[in-house]
Amino acid sequence: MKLLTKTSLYFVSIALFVFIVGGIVIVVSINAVIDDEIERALRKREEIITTQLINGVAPAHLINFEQRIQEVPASEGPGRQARFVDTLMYDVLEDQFEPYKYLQVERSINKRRYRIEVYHSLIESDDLIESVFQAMLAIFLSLLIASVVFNFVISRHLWRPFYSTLRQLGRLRIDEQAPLRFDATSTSEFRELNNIAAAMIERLRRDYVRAKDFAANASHEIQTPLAIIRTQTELLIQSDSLKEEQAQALQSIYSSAGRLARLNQSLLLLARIDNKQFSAIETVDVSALLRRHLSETDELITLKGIELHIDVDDNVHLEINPYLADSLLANLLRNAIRHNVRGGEIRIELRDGHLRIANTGPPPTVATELVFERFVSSADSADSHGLGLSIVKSICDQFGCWIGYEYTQDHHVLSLRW
Amino acid sequence: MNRQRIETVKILFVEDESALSASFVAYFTKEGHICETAQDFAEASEKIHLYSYDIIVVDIGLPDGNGLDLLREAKEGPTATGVIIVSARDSLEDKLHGLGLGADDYITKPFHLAELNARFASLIRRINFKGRRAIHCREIEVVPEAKEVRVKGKLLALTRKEYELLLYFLSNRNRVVTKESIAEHLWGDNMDMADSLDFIYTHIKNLRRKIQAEGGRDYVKTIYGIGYKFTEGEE
Repeated sequence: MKLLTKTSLYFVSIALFVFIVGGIVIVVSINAVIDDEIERALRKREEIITTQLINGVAPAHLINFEQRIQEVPASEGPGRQARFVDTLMYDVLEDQFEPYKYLQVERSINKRRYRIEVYHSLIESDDLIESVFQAMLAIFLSLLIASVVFNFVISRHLWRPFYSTLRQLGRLRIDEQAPLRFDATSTSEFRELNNIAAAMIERLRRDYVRAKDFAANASHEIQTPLAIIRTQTELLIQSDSLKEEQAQALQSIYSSAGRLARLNQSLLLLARIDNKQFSAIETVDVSALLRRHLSETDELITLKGIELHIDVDDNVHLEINPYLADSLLANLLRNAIRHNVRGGEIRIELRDGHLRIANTGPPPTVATELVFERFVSSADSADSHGLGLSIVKSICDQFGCWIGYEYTQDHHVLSLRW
Repeated sequence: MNRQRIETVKILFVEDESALSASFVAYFTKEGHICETAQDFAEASEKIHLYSYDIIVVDIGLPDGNGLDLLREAKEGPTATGVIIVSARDSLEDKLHGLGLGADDYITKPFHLAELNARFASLIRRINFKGRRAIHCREIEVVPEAKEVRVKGKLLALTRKEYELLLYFLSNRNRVVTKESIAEHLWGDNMDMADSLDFIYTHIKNLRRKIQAEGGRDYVKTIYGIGYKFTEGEE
């Protein structure tokens, strides 16, 4: 729910509460005033009637629709106190019962006891309350409409810079250097927001570049010492006087250095892809390239006892850097072979705009959405460093190619679409 | 420009990392080659102009110049110098460019010394004999041009990998060849080391069997857990 809608709702509900309470207060106080007025008028009229009765006017002359005078027989008990009573009376003109108030008083005039009742219609006060309620309702409704209009106008104008900033932030890519252009605004809160966001993004980008450069530089610097370790070890291995335990220690150093070198190569490749150093794009014949890779890995597949099912269309082309295309397919195939089982199978399907590689293998030990993350690797393959699919993903991202992974029917399936 | 002997070869290593070139020199001097080193572009350029080398190994990523220019200089010289360029694994452009400029071979960092040695052997054969010379080792004869292997004159039916493996052993005779370097030589980096051990073992077993079936001797020794050694042995 939008902030403005929310504030309007709060505003409207508070207004509703105020109007209800205010209405009740107004009605009650008006009622009290009217009541007071009516009671005073009734007393006045009763006074006039009593005066006339004292002056000898016959009660019959004084009786009408709103005035009743009754002689009370002496046998009746002591006279009642004067009292006001609400009642309903039949109105001939309106043909219905209307609310009335009357004052009942007993007076002894010229040795006679009279019960005097004076009536006053309450219809006006009812009308008043009704019109007060209507006025309140009208004001409330116009307030509601006004707030909706206000809301609409404000969100179109006042909040425009905010939504513009929001859109820009949504489109932001941390690995791009495209400058942010926030709309100029005179609202100080939004200006502050823009300034803070710009500063934060600047900092993030700087950190990102620094981290990226660090990874690339570190990998680069590690290369040479590693090469030295490897060659020196290879040299040592040639020694004729090696004892078995020394040989085993050397073997361990040598193979570890080899693993480290491979890992480092992959990290360097990732860094170079991220730094967009493979920008030269050519039209690559994916079908031919895939067949070449298959013929190269054919032996490995056979040795592992894996059954290969190929369904490859001819002349499937892709605009991509040739080295990365090579690396992409090599990594995909390596992955399918490496995480396979003896006697398993690999199914490869290549169509225009679509490549699907499915292989058997132990069920995934990592969450499906994590397979492309760096250093995420199933534990079954000690030699895999978990960068192969990260490289595949980086290459795909760079060339606008979609890649997805799923595990269905005992098969690991990698699908690419471009 | 034909030379009579292939065993003694003059090699120049152009490599800016002295520890690395020192190990090259140590390894290939043992092999019987004459080795020299140059640390930078200027030194390498000077040496190429002053002396003649049979093989120059050039790292393309030199600090003070492009190794490809050295390649050009070497190829313009009067002797038939073989040039092997060394570069990072992922620079395909360098590779194509270097081969286009007349480089004889190409190797990516990091490499195994045994691998470089095998490249040397093949390059020396190509330079001196245009690859038409057979390689002999006791009763084994390999004709690289035809990719044929004979034992006591009888043709062996080897698979491509078995043939490559044998050639690799022959190039690195009397040397310990690590399992890793064999695996990379045969399959590139396409494979798990755990798997490759089995596969190498299978290939070596088949190769031994085939050679012995024709009356050849078993020259392949297992060296602890490290790898194998193809020993010519004594007469």
